[in-house]
Amino acid sequence: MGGKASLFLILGFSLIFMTAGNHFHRMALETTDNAVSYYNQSKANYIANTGVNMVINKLFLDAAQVDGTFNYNFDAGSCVVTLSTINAYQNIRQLLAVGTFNNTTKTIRIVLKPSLFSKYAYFSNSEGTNINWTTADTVWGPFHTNGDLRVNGYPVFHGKVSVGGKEVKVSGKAKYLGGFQKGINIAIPTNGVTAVGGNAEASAIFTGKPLIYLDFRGDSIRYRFNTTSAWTYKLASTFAPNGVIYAQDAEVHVRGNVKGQYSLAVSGTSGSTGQIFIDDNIYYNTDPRTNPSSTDMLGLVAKRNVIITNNAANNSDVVIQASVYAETGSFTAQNHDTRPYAGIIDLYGGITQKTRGPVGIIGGGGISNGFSKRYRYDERLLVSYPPFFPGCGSFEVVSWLE
Amino acid sequence: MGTGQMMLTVGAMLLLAMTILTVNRGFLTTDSSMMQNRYDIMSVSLATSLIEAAIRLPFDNKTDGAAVTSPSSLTSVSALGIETGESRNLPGDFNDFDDYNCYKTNPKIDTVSYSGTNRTAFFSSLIRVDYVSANDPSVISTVPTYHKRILVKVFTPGLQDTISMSTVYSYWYFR
Repeated sequence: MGGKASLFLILGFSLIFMTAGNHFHRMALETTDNAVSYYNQSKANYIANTGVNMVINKLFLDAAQVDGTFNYNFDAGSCVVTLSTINAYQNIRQLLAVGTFNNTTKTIRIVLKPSLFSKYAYFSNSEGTNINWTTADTVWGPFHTNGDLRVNGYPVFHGKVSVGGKEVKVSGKAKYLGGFQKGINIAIPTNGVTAVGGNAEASAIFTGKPLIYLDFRGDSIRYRFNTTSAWTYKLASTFAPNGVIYAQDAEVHVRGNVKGQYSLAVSGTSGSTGQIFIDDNIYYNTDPRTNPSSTDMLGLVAKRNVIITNNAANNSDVVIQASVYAETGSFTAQNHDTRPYAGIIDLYGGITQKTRGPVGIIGGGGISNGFSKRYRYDERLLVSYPPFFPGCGSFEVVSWLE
Repeated sequence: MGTGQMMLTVGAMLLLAMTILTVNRGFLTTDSSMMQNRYDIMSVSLATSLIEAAIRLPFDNKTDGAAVTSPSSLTSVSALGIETGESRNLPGDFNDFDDYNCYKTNPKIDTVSYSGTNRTAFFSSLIRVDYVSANDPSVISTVPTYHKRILVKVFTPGLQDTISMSTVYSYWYFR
């Protein structure tokens, strides 16, 4: 009896030990599977990333890179990258990379869209030699200069900052809350204005008129070709059905109440042509600062300069709600250094200019001549833009999904 | 207790002893396997960390502060690695991707301590950066291109195999 009992007892213990051993054995196998899976997935991911880099470089070098499929063998695995256009009208491209290693696949999906200058809160090709960003300067939204960024104080940049050159620290320290990147050159095109104008409907093209006064008046637009002639009135939606107004070889004076989405492009390289003068406040019918659902949007696209006119209307503040683009010139104020103090430029939008232009003179502890600045980025420009606004010639990554 | 019962008891004891030995051997194997897998995972993590640290840097020393328009403007093949003033012991000061090439002949040793024990594991990493062909990333180029391959190998005395990870980093930027 005692022998049988001990046998059952020992068999019971053996069963317990074997069960526990089996569990440990399975745990070891699962741990191994986990390690192998981690390794395979990491390898597949880097193989997919390799394919992404190889193809995205093609797109970087040639924005017109045609759609296609690219196959690569790398690191004992393989990758298939498909470049496709998913929206031909807006030229939105997709990159789909599938990396494979040891029967493990990783997929990376990237969506890119053309990069437009309108997205910048501030863009310049050159910052000039002695213009600094100082403690009083705060920039919201993306910032780029192809030159050096001079810091003299404690400016704050809320969006991403990129520079073609380098940061020059005169004194102080800038705060880059959205990140900072060097070595990026984004050339201003030489045909940005004509490219916009090329999209204008015949009804919205001015030719042979060297001087144009154009007023936005909500649903309508009026214009004339000197200060004494009668105005011509047009319903804005029929005058410029796709939103583009183009003045060839002209000087355009603009002001008014913008209702809808428009781009005003002005070409010309001689005399005073190719310039847009802002004669008075130009503002949105529905102010996006108080009503974020506003769809009003304006692009002022000049071949040379966008200038705040020196006139009575602009002697005590000026409101500008627009995305400004000066292809070969600057955004500046007329007679900025000789006119009296004229108040504040209340700009809501963004500025792209070839060379940073002056709008006022500092003296006596404040602004002695011209304007002080109150620039605020229109954050709608991150996702929307005035019609056919000039492009940077490259893409931007909209999403990167791994 | 009769002779038969005595025999049964002795047999049972032998069976139990064999079972315990087998299970114990299994535990030791499991422990070894789990430790090996632990090293594997840590090695892959270390390799991944090194690659991620490298690809957050500018593509080339020549693109750190300026854009380039031709591969010939990039660092020459023979100069891939750290520049004057940089130290392989201070990777935080590296300013471009190929600075990690400095690890290729002199393995960088990383120390990992296990939390809660006195055990310390030493992982050595060997990194090599090369230009690769624009048409085939598996082919090393003898001239600068817009594509660089980083190869990371991680090994440790406790690891049976060397972990090898690799990826290609190309020159591009979109804003």
